[in-house]
Amino acid sequence: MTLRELPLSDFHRSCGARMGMFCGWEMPLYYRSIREEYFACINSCGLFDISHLGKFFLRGREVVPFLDYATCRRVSEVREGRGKYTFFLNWRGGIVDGVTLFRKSEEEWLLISNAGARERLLQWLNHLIKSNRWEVEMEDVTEKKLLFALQGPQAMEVVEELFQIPGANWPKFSFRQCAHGFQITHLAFSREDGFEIMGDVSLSLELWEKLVREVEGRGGALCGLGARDLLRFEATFPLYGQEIDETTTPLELGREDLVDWEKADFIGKKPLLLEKREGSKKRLVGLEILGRRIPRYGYPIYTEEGIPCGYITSGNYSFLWHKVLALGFISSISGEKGDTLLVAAPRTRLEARITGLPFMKGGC
Amino acid sequence: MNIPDDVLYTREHLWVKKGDVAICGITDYAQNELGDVIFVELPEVGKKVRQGDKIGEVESIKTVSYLYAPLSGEVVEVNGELDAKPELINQSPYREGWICKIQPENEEEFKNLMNKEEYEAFLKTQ
Repeated sequence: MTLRELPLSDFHRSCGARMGMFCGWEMPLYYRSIREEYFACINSCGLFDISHLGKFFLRGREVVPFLDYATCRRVSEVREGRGKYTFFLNWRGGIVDGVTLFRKSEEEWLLISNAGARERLLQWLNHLIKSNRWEVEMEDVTEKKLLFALQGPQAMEVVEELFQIPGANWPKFSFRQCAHGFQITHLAFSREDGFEIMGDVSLSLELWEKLVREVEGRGGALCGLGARDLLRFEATFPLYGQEIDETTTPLELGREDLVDWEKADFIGKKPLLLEKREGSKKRLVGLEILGRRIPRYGYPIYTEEGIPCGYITSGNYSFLWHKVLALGFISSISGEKGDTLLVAAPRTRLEARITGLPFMKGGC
Repeated sequence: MNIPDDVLYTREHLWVKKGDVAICGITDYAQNELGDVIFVELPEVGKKVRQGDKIGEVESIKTVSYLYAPLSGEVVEVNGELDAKPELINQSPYREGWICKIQPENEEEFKNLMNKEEYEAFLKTQ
C-alpha cells in the first residue's frame, strides 16, 4: 500500500501532531492528548483534518436510479442541498461501505466514503456502472479536495463567524455552498453538533489557519484521529474495517432502519430478506468491561461456560463514563442485555457485561 | 521533552533514581509515545526481579506496552495511586507518576544504565 500524506502533513507536524498510519494515510493521531482533545469536542470545539476520506462525484442522467439500485436506502427522495447516510451492499448483502451521499443537483451527487474502503468502493461502482451500462460517470476527487470537521457545541459559532452565515442551524445532513467554492455540511461523526467543510486543496492552509484561530479563541483544540475515534465509538457509529466489512450485513449491525424494504429492488435485497426470515448469524453488541484493560480488534469473545461466540470490533476507554467499553459481534444465541461474557486478552480474560446500543441511549 | 539529569535511564525508557532504594518510572518520552494512560499493572511488592524481567504493563488508549525491571532486586513499594489515577504517568512522569521502588542487589548494574546525555543520544536513534 502506498503511503499517502495529507496536504497539510508538514503543518500538522509543526503543530506537534503525533502522526500514525491509518488506512494507508499518515494522519495526526493527536496533538497534545486524546483526553484533552476529546473534552474540547464535548465542551467547546475541536478541529479535525479528515481530508483522507474518499470523495467522489457521480454525474449523469441516471445517477438517481443507479444510487437507488446500488444502495439499501431510498436515495431518490433526498432533496437538493441534502444528504443521507446509506450502505452500498454486495450481492450477498454484505456492506461494501457506509457512505454519505449529497445531492448537489438532479444529475450531480457527492459521495463521502470511509478512507479504507475507497479503492474497493471505486472498483465496485465502476464494475456496476460498466456491467449494466448506467449513464453515470464517476470522478475520484479525494486528493483534490480538503475536508475539515468541526465538532462540538461551539462548532456552529465558528462556522457563522468565519463564513459570515448567520443562523447556520440548518437541518442535519444539509449543506450550503459558500464563497470560494466551500461546501459546508451540518453533520458530525459524533453525538455532538458539528460541521464538515469541503473545498479545493489549494485553499487548505489559509482555511485551516483561520479555523485554528477561531477554534483556539474559544478554548477549543486541534484534534487527531484518537479523539475522533472515541467520539464516534461512544455514539456507536460503525467504522469500516472494524464494525463494517463485506461479510457483515446491515441487519447484523442492528441497522434495519437503514434498509428500505419497500424499494422494488436493490443489490443485496434478496439475501437480506432471507436473513430477516431465518435470523442473522451474528449481531453487534455493546460490552462494558470490568477493569481498565481495553479489548482490541479481533480479541475472541466467549460465553461464561467458555464456548467461543464472537469477536471484538472496537474497544476504548470512555472519559465521559469512566469505563472501558467495547463493540463486538456475537452469535445470535449467545446472550441478552445484562448477561456476562468473557473476552480473551493476552494472558488474561476480561469480564464483560452486555449493554444496550447505542451506548448513548443504552446501558451507560 | 523533559530529561532530568538526576536520574539514570534504560533502553526501555524507564528512569531510575538512586538512593537507599531505587525509584523508577517511565520517561517523559515514553509517556508521550504511549498517549493517555488508562491502566497500569504494577509489580507485586516483595517480588524478586532480575534486570530486564517483564514486571508490569502500561495500557494506553492506543496501545499496551511492558515494563522491564531496570535493576535486579526486590520490589519494596509500588505507587498505589496509579490504580485510581493512571493519568499521573502522563501528568508527572518523574514525580507523582513513579511506578515502583526496588531494593537493588547489585550496585554494578547501575553501570548498564544511561545518563542524561547518553539517553538523549539514544533517543535520536529511535
